[in-house]
Amino acid sequence: MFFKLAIESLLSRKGSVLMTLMAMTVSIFVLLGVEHIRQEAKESFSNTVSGVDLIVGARTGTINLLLYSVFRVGAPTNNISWASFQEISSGKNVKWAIPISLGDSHKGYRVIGTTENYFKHFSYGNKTPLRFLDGKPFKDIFDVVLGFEVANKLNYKLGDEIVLAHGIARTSFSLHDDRPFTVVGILEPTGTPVDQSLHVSLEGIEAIHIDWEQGVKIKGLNITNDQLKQIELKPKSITAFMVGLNSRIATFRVQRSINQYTKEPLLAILPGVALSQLWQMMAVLENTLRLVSVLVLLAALLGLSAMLLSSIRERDREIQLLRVIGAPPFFIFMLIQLEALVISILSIILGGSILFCCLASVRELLTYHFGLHISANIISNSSLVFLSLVLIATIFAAVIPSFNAYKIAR
Amino acid sequence: MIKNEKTIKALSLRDVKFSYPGVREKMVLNIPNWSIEAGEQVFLHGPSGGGKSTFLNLLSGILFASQGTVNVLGKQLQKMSGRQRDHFRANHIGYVFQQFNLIPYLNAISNIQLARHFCDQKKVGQLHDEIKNLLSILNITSSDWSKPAAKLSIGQQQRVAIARAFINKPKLLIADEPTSSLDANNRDSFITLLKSLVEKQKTTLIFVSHDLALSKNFDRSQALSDINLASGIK
Repeated sequence: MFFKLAIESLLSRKGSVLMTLMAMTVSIFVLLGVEHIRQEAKESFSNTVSGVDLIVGARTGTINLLLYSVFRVGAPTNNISWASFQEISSGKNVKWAIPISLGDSHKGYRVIGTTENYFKHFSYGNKTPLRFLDGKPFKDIFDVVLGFEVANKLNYKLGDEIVLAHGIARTSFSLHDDRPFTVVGILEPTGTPVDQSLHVSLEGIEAIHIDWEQGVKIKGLNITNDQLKQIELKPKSITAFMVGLNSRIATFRVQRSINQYTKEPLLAILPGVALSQLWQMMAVLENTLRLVSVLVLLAALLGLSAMLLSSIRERDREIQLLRVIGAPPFFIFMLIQLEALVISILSIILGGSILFCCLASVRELLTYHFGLHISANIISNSSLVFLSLVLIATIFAAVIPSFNAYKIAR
Repeated sequence: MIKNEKTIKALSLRDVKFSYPGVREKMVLNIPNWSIEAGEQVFLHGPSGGGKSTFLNLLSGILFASQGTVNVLGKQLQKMSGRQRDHFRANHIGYVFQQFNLIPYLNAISNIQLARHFCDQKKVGQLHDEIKNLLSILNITSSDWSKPAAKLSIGQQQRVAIARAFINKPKLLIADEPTSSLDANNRDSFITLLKSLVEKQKTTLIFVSHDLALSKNFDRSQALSDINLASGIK
């Protein structure tokens, strides 16, 4: 009966209640959304690479190197020479090295020229190695291994032939259509940018560019695939490389020696440190977003309080009547509290569901454009903590109108 | 406590003085001695603003006197806590006002259920039959039972209010100008229905009205000014 009274009372004031409900829903949406995306982005970022001790590239900003080598966002500033790679990767502390050569793409997905080491040593998440869903690593010059999403979205299977495009634009006019690649392997989903990558051998990258110069195909120069096999396809340069060391203790020493490398300006970064720098950069943004969402919630709660407060004035006689039929003042107090909580809980459900739908529909865009993997599952420990805080804040916001009603009832 | 219906008073007030906090010097009620026998039907009249509402609120325990004793159905209201008085009121006192007797957004049935909610007897199965029974006796057609109270006519609202007041079988019924918003036809049927229920349930009735013509319907008629000696009536 208590519950029914609160519900019927809210229903009898549909207009103002609906407006308040909407304000609360929007604020819950913003609050949960900001919190969820923040967490997911952080998770997604820090899970992208693990087990790599150093990332080495041409001298540039730490974060820039991290972005293009790991996240495949942005463009590399410069290449590094193959000779430098060979010299550093043969150092005594180096256990393994994965060269990376970027610059080509396929229907918007980036192509990575690398070696078999990539499949052997690269890991993500909690040191999870890459696994093959189907097929095996590339062996031949024109073999390609697809990330899960590439294969899934473009509906490729083993044995399909695909053509790479020069440059990283989504729609490229210069295609390497004279030398198609054959799909020999498809990786398991990882939830990292690996899913959106195509992996070919460094020789493959070299081969498709052999009769190109300055980004365009040289007219009249056609080298057949048979001729290619005769040529030694040694890369002259690569974009970056990842290094695994024998002992982590040596990390700083190796880093320093790479940074002081005299033959070429190089930069070695620790992925973990670079990641946390990236997050420090975002901290201001993060906190601003949080602050804004809290203020939005505060505004909505004040609106709720104001709505209830003005309703109390209209409900003077109703309260007197309840008193006469035996309702204690505390009942009246709790009635107003319940009305506030009902609005709050409804807006949590509404805001949560709208957020869920939005995330489910934009997550592909986020993945595509920003390499962010945002799950639509918004129920986490921290979101539950936030929601209980919202409920507690609601109780506080409703104290003034509830107490007003209580005073009338006294 | 209840020994014999004839000897026990339904209501007795002795040396009751009341003034509102903040205006202490201005006494609203000063009642040396007044009582009603159990089962008696008393008509009280007086001009509006004559301390009537205060007097009735004192009897129902919404207000309580700073001095003197108010004894209702054998219980001293002053000795009860606020919670106990609310409980006592829910269980034993029915109330009908001039208007706004019902929660406007609840339908007739829910309004009556709500009155039962604060009372001790909570057998829901029987309750529905009791409510339907009462509403039929009071000439409310079943199609109006589930309409929000605000959609009912004033006459219907007042009759539903009787049902609401009687659902817990109160020993005391206080009717505060219940017919003042009604036209002559509705007023007469209201009084007839009220009296038949009061007689059937042997309820003690206090009927307050400024309309002296109604006094012929009741056992005893008294002016509030005869009971209340407070001079400074606002």
